[in-house]
Amino acid sequence: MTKRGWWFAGVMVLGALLLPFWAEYAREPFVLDVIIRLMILAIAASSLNLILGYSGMVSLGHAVFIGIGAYAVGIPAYYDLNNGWLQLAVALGVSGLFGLLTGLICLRTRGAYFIMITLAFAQMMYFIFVSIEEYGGDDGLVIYARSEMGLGVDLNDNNQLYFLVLICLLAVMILVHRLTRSDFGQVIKSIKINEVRMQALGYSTFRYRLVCYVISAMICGLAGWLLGNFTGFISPEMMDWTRSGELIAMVLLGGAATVVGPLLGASIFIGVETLLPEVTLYWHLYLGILLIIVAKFGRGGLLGWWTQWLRGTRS
Amino acid sequence: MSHALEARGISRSFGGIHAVVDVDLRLAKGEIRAVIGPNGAGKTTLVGLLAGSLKADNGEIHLAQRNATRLPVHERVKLGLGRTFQITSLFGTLSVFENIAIAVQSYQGHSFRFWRPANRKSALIERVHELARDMGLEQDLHTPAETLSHGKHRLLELAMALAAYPSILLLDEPAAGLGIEETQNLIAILDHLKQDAAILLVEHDMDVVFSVADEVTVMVDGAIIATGSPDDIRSNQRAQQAYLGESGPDHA
Ligand SMILES: Nc1ncnc2c1ncn2[C@@H]1O[C@H](COP(=O)(O)OP(=O)(O)OP(=O)(O)O)[C@@H](O)[C@H]1O
Ligand SMILES: [Mg+2]
Repeated sequence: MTKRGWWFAGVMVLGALLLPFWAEYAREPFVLDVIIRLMILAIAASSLNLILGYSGMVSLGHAVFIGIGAYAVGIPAYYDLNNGWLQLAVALGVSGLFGLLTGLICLRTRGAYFIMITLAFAQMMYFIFVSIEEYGGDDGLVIYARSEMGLGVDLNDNNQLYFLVLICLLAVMILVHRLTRSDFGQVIKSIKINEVRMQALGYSTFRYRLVCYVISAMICGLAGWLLGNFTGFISPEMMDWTRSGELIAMVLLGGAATVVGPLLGASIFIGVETLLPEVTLYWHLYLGILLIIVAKFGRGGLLGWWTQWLRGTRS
Repeated sequence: MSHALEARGISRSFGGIHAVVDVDLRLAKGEIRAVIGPNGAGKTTLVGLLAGSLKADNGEIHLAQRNATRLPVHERVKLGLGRTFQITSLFGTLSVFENIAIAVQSYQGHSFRFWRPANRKSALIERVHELARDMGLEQDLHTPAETLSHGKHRLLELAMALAAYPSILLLDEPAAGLGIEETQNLIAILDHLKQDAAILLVEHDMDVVFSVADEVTVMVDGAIIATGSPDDIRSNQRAQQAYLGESGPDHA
């Protein structure tokens, strides 16, 4: 990252740290809610970026892990098990396990087949949860209590939830940064470019892609755990394929295979979703058009444009 | 004598095309066996079968005394096999350094490390430089592979295959498209390499074949029609007709 980039990151983090105080002062609690949701989506998009951006696999079922993470709050809470660490462990464990089991099958396919089979698994989970009446079925499940974390933390305080989400987002971005520049990351990126050659060099490419898939699933499970806490409600709709499609849109809009891209993409998505409906009913359409423009003219997403502009190559 | 590579009766067809038919092959350390034959003879398919990127319909393949018939590509690499591709197969957007480094990393075995930055270990950096030096690519370490000249692509291709100190080396037309000087350089490299490895050399360039090969195998329509020393092959009637008699392969 450039020096200017680090400065920019520093200012952003500082702004994020001060935001709750401003929101309180300006009596705009709604802003905090918007940013919490934005950051949770950014975590989910970052996790998708690991497989979509860095490994080149388009999954149309990634939102299933958000659902799993959120149900990992909702279902225990339904039985009055509110221990946040337990719920978090369940969220990460079940997402990882589901990622492992489905990955063993999905990752044997490529391209359109991969898209279809990830979609199929996600829809399968969708219908499973629709059919479980106990947990609200189609109508979803209200989560009456947020996770209890102990250590003097109270997530019912929106400010504290905000800081927890912020810490998680930063941790995930640092993780993605380190991971994609590590030995493992080098393997993943090279497999994306030329898998046949990687095998000829002695790499069991399937194993590396599977590990990457599981890591991605677990990070998305974390996003789900946060989302369940935030919305206090979970329904099968959260894992619908349209949700997965939105995650893809965020990654591509912001800039695939970059650390900041998913955050940028989530910001654009939230911006469009929050502002455009006031102007037009058809905001999904405009988001779609924006996506097509970015896909057509800038392979690096908006982040790509921006960095090129910073370097002065596009001014 | 023990063989580094042994193929017994391997065959492979694609639909109705019999690309490789009942081929037997043995290769020992210290030996360069050239495989020649007209376009479409099945040479690349043979390399694919030996490397494991193609599955044989019939027959057995032994590598380093182990039955490798059913092993996937990466397991065969662990048995000492290395290969290059006829159609250059690199990581185009990555630098020459990164291309060689990912090959070295596979050999040095530290790919499930998730936190520390890649390409910083001194053992790795040293080995990358050594390979680059051997292939004359030292000046190009920081250029993206895709911008190299064709000749350097071929050399990079070879550098990557050598990273793991292979004891069995399958080279698919390494000299294709090389200049005169580069070809001479390649011949010297091959001569040196064969001390430690068994080399299967698919090649259209007869200068290369006749200056390095200890044995020559002629393939036509998927089958071996002649095999012997370079002198034998030069005087072999069938080989002449099938291949050498032609004005030469129509390779660009
Ligand atoms: N994947 C494939 N699918 C279908 N047919 C194939 C495939 N690979 C090779 N063939 C066919 O098998 C035959 C042998 O091809 P191969 O590439 O092995 O020849 P070659 O001796 O390497 O030729 P060249 O000198 O042109 O490189 C050809 O008829 C080719 O068209
Ligand atoms: Mg060929």
